[in-house]
Amino acid sequence: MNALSASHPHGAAMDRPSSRGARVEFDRVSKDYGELTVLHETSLKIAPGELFALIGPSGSGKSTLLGILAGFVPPTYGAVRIDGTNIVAVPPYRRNIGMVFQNYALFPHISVAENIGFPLKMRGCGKAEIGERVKKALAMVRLEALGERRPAQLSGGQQQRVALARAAVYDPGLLLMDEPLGALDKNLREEMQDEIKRFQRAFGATVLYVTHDQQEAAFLADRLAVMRGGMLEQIGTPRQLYEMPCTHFVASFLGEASLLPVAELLGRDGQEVRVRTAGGLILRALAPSRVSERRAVCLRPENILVGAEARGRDNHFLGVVEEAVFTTGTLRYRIRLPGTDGVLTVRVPSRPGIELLAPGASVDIGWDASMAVTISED
Amino acid sequence: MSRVASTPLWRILSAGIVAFAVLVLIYLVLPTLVIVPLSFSSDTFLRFPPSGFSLRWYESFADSTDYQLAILNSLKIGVPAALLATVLGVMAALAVVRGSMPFRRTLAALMIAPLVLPQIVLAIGLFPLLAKVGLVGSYPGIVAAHAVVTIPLVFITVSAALRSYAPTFELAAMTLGANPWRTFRHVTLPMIRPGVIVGFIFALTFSFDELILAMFLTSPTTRTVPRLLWEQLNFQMTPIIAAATVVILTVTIGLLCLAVLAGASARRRMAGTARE
Repeated sequence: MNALSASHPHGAAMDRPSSRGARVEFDRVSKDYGELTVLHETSLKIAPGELFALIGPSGSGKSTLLGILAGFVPPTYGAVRIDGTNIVAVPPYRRNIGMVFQNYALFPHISVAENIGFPLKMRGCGKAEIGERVKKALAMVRLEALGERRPAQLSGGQQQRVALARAAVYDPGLLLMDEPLGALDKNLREEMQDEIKRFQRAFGATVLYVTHDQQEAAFLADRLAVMRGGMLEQIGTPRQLYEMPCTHFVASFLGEASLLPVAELLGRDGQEVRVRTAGGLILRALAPSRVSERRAVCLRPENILVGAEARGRDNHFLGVVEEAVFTTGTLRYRIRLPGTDGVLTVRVPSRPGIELLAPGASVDIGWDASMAVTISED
Repeated sequence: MSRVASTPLWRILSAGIVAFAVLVLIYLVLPTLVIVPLSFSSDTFLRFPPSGFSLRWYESFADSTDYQLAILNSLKIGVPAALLATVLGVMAALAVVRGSMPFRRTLAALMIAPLVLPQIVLAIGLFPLLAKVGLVGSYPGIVAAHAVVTIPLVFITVSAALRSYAPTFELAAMTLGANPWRTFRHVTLPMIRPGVIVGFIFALTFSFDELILAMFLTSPTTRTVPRLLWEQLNFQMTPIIAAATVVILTVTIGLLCLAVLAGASARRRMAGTARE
């Protein structure tokens, strides 16, 4: 294969060792449409081989960032570097980036094998080489038998795999995925998440993955960024973002959270602070140094302990159960705090023998300081 | 709904509606078809109903050098005009539907204009212009004129084809390494092919039937079949006109059937395509 492709003008780019992904850098990139700024000055570095997810609601700028990297959207300012080279002026067809689209964008007028062979044909590969590499790619996504079919004759999951094979057959160092699982139903989506993860590990390319599904992003990504209003709100590993959100928006976008507004900062002890909430409770909570204003305390539902376990914790109160529901695997409570702080969402693993509390019952609730984190307002 | 459908009044009404529709169809088609028995007439001038039947007028049509030349002219004008209209119409549709230039709506309206405006206006406008450059009576003159009036036909069918799918396919082709020309050649063109073929057939059919521009812009050596028919109607009124008309009618209907077939096969081929 090396000898074959060496004779082609684009051979060098195609034969990038697949164990090494591209290094991507957005350097103060922004995008305006006239008066409207859809992407504020953004800088971001993605390491070789990393699966980086962008999440956020629609209109948050994640598709713009992806489009800038793909070459569909020219940035207003800033540089985009792949392996150190600024590619802003390079047209999309010379960027050697693989892309998987939400609706796959498989060409309906040609067969599955021809779809996968398309990028090789565009790179001037010979028939024999194309045939061989398409066969390999089909095997990689376990669709050996379906090469002669038209895309419309395949199921959604199969089309998805063809799209993946087509974007990877020319060994790009960077793969872009724009809501690649958005068109699939829930079960298939979970199956494909495993598939994508396996694929990425084996393939080794850097992946920029755009989704609005926070669970999908948390499952797949090495790191992720939450976007909002054309800005990166927070960047980190899924676990960092879940456990240490900086803002209300991040806290509530990733999973469930109960937020208690802070009225006054009472004292500081290393990583911890003591605060009085707007409802009059005195709480101890973590205070990550990167959060400047401490406007609320964020509590994840599974970090709040109920009953005997709750006693003796750094924060301990007597609450009243307002709502109690069994969902698969968990008991979900809404428990009213003393004072006027309102209601906490609490999740307790449901095991045989653990009784579901009745609404109206008084119950001990508590959590250690390390289970709660202070965040800034929005 | 089903209760309404079963009342006697509704049954009478619906029978009436069907009868009316059939009458409208007959009214639309019959005058066109009157020409068919006339063409088999044994009379020496156009008269309805004919007193007897023969194939003599088809024979004289086949033997007529005038008609042979006119048919050749119609082809020499229709095919290049339709090709020119197809190339320009496809380019215009790409620019208006996929492009990002300002005033696209206005431009789209302007593209349709030659179809809506009276042809006599275009004919009168073109005549002095072509006379100035010495193209009246020549092939290029009438080819250009027919291309102008048939561009909208291609523009409409190709615009519809382009609007039927999201531009994601073209974006995908580009990320896969296809430059703009190869994206058009390998992705856009195959996707819009039925629209292009139908547009070409419409353009060809239109040119084949067109009289007004032909009257202004052709000469006896470049005159088309419709112009010859018109001239003969004025002077001789023999059923050879009917025979010639039936031939034109057959060719036109054949072309339109082709257009329908092209559209249907495309729909079959793209069935199940992921729409966005």
